[in-house]
Amino acid sequence: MSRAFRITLLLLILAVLAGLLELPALRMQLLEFGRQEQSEEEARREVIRPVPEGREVRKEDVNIFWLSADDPSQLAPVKTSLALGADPQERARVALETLITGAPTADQRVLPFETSLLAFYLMPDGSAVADFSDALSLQLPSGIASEQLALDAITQTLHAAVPQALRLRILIDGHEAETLAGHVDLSSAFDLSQMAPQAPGPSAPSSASAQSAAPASPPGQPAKPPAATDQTKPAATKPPPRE
Amino acid sequence: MLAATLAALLAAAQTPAPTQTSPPPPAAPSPSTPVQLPPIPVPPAPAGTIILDPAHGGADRGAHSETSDEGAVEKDLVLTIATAMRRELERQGFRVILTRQTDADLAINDRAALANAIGGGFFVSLHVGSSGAPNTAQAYSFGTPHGGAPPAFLPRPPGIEAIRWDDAQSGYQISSRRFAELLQVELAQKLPHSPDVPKFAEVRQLRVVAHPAVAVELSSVAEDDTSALTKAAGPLSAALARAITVYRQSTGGRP
Repeated sequence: MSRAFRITLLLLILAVLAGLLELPALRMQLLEFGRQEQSEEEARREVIRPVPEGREVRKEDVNIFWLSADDPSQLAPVKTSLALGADPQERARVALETLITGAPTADQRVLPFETSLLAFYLMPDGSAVADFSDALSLQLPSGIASEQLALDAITQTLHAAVPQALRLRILIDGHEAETLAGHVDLSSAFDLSQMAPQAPGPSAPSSASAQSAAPASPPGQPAKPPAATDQTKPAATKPPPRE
Repeated sequence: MLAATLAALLAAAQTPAPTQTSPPPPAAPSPSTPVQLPPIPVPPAPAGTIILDPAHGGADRGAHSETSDEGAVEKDLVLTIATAMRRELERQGFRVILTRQTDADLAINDRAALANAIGGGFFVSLHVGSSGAPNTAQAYSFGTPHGGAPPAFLPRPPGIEAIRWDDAQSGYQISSRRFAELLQVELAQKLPHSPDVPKFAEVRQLRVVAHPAVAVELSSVAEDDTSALTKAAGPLSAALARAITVYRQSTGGRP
């Protein structure tokens, strides 16, 4: 056995030993990577989310309209502490993204969790355009009731966060759509100007917490009296009828 | 003399004497005279005309079970229900027109065009939803949930008789609401646990229909056994017949 062969054999043995020692660490790293793996949708949300600027944005309470925990056939405003900022477009984006992903429970979601708000524009005349991904149409349970609830949740949440928005046109994947998911009309803008002003809500203890308020009036029903400021009492409800 | 007699006979042969029994031949229509077509016979509909619209169809399945691909789908359920309702309502003296009788994928505007070509009817769009209390029915008329018309109902300029296609329902909102209220009262009685009052919803199909128009949504495809839904054709027919009869009594027979 030549000397060179013995040296090579020794090096190979050392490499194998080093590999055996490294293997558990590699395995741990793989497990950790698996735990951190994000869904495609979550990753996309992070990419399109603008990087916050240096200064901290003050949090404020705003009503987000999810399904009522007591009656899923109605919406209920939930006072939620959010860093909305001053820019109307940014306020709308934060409020609508919270509406999509921030429901207190999965059963209270009114829009499909897979939905993305692709763009939001607010013109100086109060006309707003919200462009949602097609998951809003494809994943929403088909039906008049479910589609009208989804539409009401969008318009009322937007009105609560951005009262300057007077009209809302909804696009799906950048295109005009005839209906939301086969029933509710999307062919024209929705009038937000007649909605009752949202009463300021009480401060939430933390940004992660939200207090569920009393259910809003069901569609087609007269609205209840406006908001109470006590957290234990009904919050702002649906706007009154208009003719 | 003979020549004069022959000439008189020839003239008499060439000019036939008019008779009382054979009418004169019809004159050929001149370009300025409108052609008189025979009237198209219309079956009598003393109780009223109903346009039943089984929603969806073809590739558009509508609502379907979230848990099973084998479960019931809205497009089939509403066609079954509408067909049974047609038999029952015709038996009661109504003239019933279905917007589709097969598994056809008709566009919303095509259904509306068919309905709008018929005068003096009541339009009912049939749906089965994805949620809600089992075996109940909710009627909707067109409007925002807050009771108003959407801003796209534009005021008609003075002197303009035509209305925009998208505004077809604008002249019928009050009558549709009245129709929905009467129907919902009947539905609450005939399908227990149904709501007492109708709702407003911005249903695209209703918006483009020029009739008193409602959408009725049954609940729901989420049930394990949807056979009860097809059995709802009877109560639905009875509720619809009663609502239309009361409506027409209050308007002197007009839709």
